[in-house]
Amino acid sequence: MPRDILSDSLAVLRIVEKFKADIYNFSVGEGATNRQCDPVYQFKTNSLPAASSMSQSWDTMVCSVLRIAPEDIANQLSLLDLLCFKSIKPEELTTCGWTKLNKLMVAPNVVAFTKRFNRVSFWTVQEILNGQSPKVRAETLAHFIKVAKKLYDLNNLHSLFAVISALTSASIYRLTKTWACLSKKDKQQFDKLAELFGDKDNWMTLREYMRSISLPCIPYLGIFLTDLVYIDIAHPSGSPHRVAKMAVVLKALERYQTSEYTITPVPHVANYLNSVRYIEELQKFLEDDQYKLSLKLEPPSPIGSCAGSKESVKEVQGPSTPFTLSPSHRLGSGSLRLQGSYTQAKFIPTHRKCRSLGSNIFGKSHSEDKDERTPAGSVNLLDDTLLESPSWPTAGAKTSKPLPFSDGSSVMDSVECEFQSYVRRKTIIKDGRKISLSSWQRYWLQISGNVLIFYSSKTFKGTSRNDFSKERCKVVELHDGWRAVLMDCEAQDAFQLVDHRTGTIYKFKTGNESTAKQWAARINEVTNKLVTPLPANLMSFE
Amino acid sequence: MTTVQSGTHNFKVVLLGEGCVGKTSLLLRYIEDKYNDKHLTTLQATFLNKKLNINGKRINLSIWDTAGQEKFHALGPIYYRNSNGAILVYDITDEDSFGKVKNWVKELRKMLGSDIVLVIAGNKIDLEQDRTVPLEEAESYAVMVGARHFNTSAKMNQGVEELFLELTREMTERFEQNSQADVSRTSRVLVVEDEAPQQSSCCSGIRN
Repeated sequence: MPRDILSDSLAVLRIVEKFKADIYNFSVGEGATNRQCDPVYQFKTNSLPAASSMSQSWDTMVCSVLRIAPEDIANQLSLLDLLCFKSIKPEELTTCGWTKLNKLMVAPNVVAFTKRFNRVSFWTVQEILNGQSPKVRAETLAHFIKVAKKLYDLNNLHSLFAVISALTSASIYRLTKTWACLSKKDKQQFDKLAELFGDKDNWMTLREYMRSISLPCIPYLGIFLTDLVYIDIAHPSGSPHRVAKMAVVLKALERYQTSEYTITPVPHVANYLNSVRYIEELQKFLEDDQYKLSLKLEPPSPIGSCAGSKESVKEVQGPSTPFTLSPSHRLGSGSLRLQGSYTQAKFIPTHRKCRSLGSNIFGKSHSEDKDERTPAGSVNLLDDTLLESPSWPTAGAKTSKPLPFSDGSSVMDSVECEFQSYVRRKTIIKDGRKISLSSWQRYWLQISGNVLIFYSSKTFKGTSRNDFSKERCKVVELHDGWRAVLMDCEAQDAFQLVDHRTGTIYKFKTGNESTAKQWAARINEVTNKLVTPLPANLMSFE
Repeated sequence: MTTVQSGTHNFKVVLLGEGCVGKTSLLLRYIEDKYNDKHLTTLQATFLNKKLNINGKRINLSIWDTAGQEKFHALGPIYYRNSNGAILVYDITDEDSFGKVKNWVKELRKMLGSDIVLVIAGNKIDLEQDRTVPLEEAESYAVMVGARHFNTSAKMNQGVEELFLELTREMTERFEQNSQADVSRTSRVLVVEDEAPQQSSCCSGIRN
């Protein structure tokens, strides 16, 4: 029964609660005929058996992918993929027909194979987003990582990349709470698989891997298509090298096309997989919808805690968190790496506001943040309308106030810091409210005068100055209400920073005892000096 | 990513646009200065690289082209996140390709903010008689999104050098501004807190 992802995202999520067991039935033709098809929505009573593992009937319908074993999904996907892959004809490739306007005529199978890729990718994203809680989403995510592993074992790089690209998409990658629920084993598995698809050196890892493995194998067609486009342009018709160069690519693909899987078809799984449909023309809207849903499910964290809130998991690993790709390993700046090829991650795959951590040190105000992220402050990116206040790029400066010990000019340019070190910080109580989902954040911390300066981390585990941003991410002015308290009883390297005025407690871990003692001593030295000598009986230090 | 090694700026540039708008031709024209060169051997090279020298600064451009893979929904943010610049190419005879450019601008701004320098290239001006994308519209759009607009023809080798040069110049400028900003900003900063438990957010506000 055809199932439409677009309708899943647009309507089912809202409708499903009323029609719990209904299934969204949506038939569309393939390819060009889609345009003429008006969507016909039918609600039918569905007799899916209730899955005992699922607690909610809502989930049994939407997350039914969980009821199919990863192996079965991977097997049946591979059978379907191979059939489609094998039907690709050399003429479709040599003419670069898939790039032409009449691609459905001249390269129907390349187009169909590409669509298979995109469907698997969108389906993966949607299935994960269908989970209402991070835990449920993580369950689906883990399921797809297992599917990916099976696809890897089957040498099906085509669907493997489709699943991996779904997991690294803007909508899924940013779900830090979900990723944090994932087991370490699954995360590592994902990191390992994602490494294959690094774009470094023109997809060198993937190219070499595909060359190294034996048949059967369904390759990722994309890089062959790129090669063909380059040959096509560099060696136009009539050029003596064209045929020979194209032949090299075609021969490689032909070899892959002789692949055979000894897999038994499982019709009900294949039918389920085939039922994943959406209208290609609406792909962009589907993508936008998925992103919106993603933002709704896990709203962007406030600045400074964008690395997710369940990262206490990582405390065990502490500063020696292994170098990985999975987002749940991100700390602080949320940098994201693949194959170690990027030393300075600019893209932070979370809500754009979080980017302020790295580049916008003023960014506290939400409204201004909005302006700041708008290019040239002139256009609303969502609907192309002109914004009324083109205040970028100076907007951010409005929130800034001079530092207490600075006259607003050059004093802080050369920060004379009295003491600095790597720390981890966790918020325990903030303005009198207990923070239950607080996480450890890594910072480089400096004290200068009565100011604590925080620098966010650029790397996952480093503890030296170079591993932290040069740009300060926050500055805390110490006043006489602040006290640092060593916590020898709990951990030798820990101290608490308490603000008695606002009722805020931060816990710091420094990595060793003497650094913690130094911090406590220096902070208290500063705050003691700041104590106003007058009516001492009004000050209360506990 | 920007790295400065021994005085050389390394910039990563992504080349984006619908298939068949001629972005690969533009790139080959620029890199090799040979539009239809039979000796071209850059296939399977790393990113296409171009070294240049602007005002005594050595600059290395790594240009990333996804030609042929445009329809695969595989090349998400993870691939363009470290870019310093993007060249968005459309075909002046194909309105859809201009629409695609707009999508890319949104996507890049959404994901990378204003950190990335954008230039828009209206390619195939050798086919001016078949133009369907009005020049004024394209140029005003470019101004609106803070991008420079160029008219190019890979075939006639028009505007190509200028396009890459301007992009490089802007990326260098942006890079140097940022370095300076790091210094000047430090002089007047006070943001006392971060974890403000405010729920309102810019995106959800607009997007929903």
